[in-house]
Amino acid sequence: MTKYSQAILSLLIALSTCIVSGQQSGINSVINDLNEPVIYGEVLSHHFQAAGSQFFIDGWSEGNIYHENGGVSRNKMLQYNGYKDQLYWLNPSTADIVIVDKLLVSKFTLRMPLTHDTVTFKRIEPGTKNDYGPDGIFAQVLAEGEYSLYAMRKIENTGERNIVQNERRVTLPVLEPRPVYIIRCPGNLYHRLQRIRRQNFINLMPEIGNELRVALQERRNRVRSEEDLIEAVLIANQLKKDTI
Amino acid sequence: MKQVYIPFLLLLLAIIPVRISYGSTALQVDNMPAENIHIHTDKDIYFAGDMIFFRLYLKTGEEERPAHSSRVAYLSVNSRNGQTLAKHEVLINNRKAYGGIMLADTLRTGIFSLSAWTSKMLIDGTPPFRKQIVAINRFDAGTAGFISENRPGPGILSPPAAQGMRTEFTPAENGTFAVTLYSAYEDMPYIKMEKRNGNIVLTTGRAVQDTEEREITIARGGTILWKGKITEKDEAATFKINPADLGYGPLTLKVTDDRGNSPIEACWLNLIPETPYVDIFTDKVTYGQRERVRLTFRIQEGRARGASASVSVVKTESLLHNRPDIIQSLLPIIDGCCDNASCNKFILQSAGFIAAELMPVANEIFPERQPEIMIVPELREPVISGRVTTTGDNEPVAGATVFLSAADTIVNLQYSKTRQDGSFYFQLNDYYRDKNSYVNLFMSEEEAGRYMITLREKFVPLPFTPKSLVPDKNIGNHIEEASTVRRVMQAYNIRPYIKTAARPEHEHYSVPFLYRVPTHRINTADYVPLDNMAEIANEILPDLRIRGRGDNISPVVICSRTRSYMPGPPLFFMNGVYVRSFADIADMSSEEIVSVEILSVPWSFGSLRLNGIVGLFDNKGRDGIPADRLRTEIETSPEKEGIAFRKIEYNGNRQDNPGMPDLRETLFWDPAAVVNDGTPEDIVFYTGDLKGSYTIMVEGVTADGSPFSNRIEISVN
Repeated sequence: MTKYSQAILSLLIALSTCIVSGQQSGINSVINDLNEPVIYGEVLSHHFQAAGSQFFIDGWSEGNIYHENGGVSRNKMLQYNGYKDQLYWLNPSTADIVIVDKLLVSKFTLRMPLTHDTVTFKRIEPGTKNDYGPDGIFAQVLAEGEYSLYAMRKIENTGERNIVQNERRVTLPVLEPRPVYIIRCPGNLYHRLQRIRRQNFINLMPEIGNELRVALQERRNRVRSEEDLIEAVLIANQLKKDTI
Repeated sequence: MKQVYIPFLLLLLAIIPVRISYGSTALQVDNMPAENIHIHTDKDIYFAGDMIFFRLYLKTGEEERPAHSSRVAYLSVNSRNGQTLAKHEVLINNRKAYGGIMLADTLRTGIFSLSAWTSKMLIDGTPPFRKQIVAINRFDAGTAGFISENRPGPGILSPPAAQGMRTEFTPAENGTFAVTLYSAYEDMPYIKMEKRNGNIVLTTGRAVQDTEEREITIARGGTILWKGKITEKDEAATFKINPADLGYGPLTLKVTDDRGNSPIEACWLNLIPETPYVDIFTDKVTYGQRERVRLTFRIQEGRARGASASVSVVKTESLLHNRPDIIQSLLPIIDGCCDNASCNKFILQSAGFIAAELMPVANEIFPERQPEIMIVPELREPVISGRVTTTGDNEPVAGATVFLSAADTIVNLQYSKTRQDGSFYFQLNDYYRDKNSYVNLFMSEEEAGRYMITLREKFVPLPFTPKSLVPDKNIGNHIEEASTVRRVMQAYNIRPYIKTAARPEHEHYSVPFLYRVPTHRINTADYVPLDNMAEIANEILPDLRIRGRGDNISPVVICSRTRSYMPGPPLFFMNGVYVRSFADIADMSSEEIVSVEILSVPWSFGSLRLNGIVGLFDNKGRDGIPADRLRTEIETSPEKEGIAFRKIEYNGNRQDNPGMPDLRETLFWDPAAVVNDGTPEDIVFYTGDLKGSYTIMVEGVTADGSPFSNRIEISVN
């Protein structure tokens, strides 16, 4: 076989591979599209102005939405509004900000801008519908196990502030983060921690109360901060596991 | 050299982007193993109006990754000219599916093809599974003649000599054939091969003047598997060979003399595997009528413990000797001399020898006639696809939005943007089951007039060339008896099957909501009657206004948040189905509409932005939806409900139900026999009133993907 005919043969093989690869890539693209769940919700049409941020993270973060039906929307631009307990999605097709239908969401993740850690929010229904609305609430997952710890990243109106805007004096509500910690105990029982105190925490787990008290004392954990609380829940889970 | 490298560079460029883009994605076609299908049916000879009980086996070659295999299979019954007479879409669960296909009672007597395939097989160009079945209409004249007309003719019984060597097929008692191989020279020996008591019996004979010593060998490739000798003194010699010793695959039989000449050389295919994997036992060989039969299996030592199997017990006469078994369908046949056209070809299968021309041919490629629409594998749900083209010159329309909605009491929607080639795709989960579903173009009436939608037909014509039938010797009597049985069963209204609820895998699905909670829901019965939509909107529907008059009428929604008009008209749905033009519903009175839902906020649905949504509902379902030229109803053929074999039990008393005849030809059918840790559970069934010979047939696949098949006979006196 001459070099010329070898080259022709190689070209033919390359072309046929191109066609096959192209077709496969087309099929893969259709498969991905078919399995991409649709995100829907109301287009945000009015913006709430306040002093202080309404958002868990200012600006858009990349994250995933895990749908109730099992589908996953990956790498979306998301924002969590703690004042309204709403998840916003920046729709790249229309540039609209969409308030994602809460019933659509099982959980979502957000990538923290500085640390690049991923935080997860879950839709939970921790009490009666009167307490938390018909669709449940989004709460950040801090620890999960036999006992789980969630933080509702609530942003509350704590007062009013007058500012001058466009040469006009306007009164704006002052917003500040006021996280609420929720503990889920075995049997799907949710307890809201009124104040972060060691005794309050131990009272929620009477079946391992004594061991938990000793363990927390040994670690000098007074359960006064979010980090203490996370550690305490991890200890409680370990103790529960040991007793089983 | 540079010229030589350029194509390789192109080759690399062709491959690399695909790997980078999709390398980490779990669902992709290049990750999917090749697929193949086998269908085990309860029998081969049916009557018009009968139910074909089937079990589908999907072989992927990657038994541990069922998630990467097709979830949907298609079955069709075709006439020889390809016409689809019955179609069935079945969900595959853990590589198996089963159910029933009803043969129309108006079917004419004839040979039909049962075909099965998956989308992945179409993509790969893998031929569909095909087997021929016989359907007899008892009202047709001369059905016995039909069988005799389709028996093997002289062309098969005495095929043309190949390389001077002659082959003859002599019909045997059990419907198979004794094969006699004659040399090109009359003074040379001949060899007769037949299957008796599980062995190949090879008998040689020779002319008086031939006294040479000769060696007979059976070999695969260059390996001799069996050797025998005809000595000078032998006028005739008989040899017994266990076919399992020869192994599955092509074989060459040669007779060689001292000088190395081979006056006889024949190629044949052994479809009997080394071991049958499973042995079948019954408590007796002969049973009385309505007697209990206990069937036990024994999985042979050293084989994979897990297995999935199907069992049928049918009148022996209702089976063809040339039916494809699971081993033939799923075990790849190694290329061998049997592909040589000039070679004498015959096949040894469990019943005996048959001519190769009697086997249904599976090597014809599925005639997909819609190449312009790309086929995608159905990994989760059935996929429907189609194309949007211009009406005049049939040019593809890219970027158009196609809606899919089903007639329902909720507003539901899926949409697809057409690709460069105008194609669109939708995945149909069980929500769409038993619902009238429609695709339509999301565009104005004026624009839509320029386009058309064509759906890809999943069941294309599948013509075939029937092979001769190799029926049981008592087929004539069987047809007569079976005709009488059908008459009696019809008189007593006895059906051999029962309909069951949908299987559990159909119970959970996600509903394709367009929205969950509307802003307003109005029941028209709560208000005074109103004549048309304009009156309804202006009087009782908050946030919906109808502006203009006559042809300039236009609806608009007021945003419930900002109280301002939305920039365009809302989307209308009637009984869950998209309505393109408001004019089509403008004249509806409040008496024709039961309720109205309004979503009066700007709504984002994927890449779509909607200026509010209005859902109208009446009690007429699909009949209430106004006509639309472009709206196309999707035709699907999903199994509507489960079909199960009706088992009959007697309490050991032959007088049970004395007045009710029990004329079952299929005594037992279990498409999913339970095999626990390698031990199949015992099966118990009861004989009926029909006397005769019954074949118990077990087919299955081991956990490591090896197909197995075995059969025994019992008789009822």
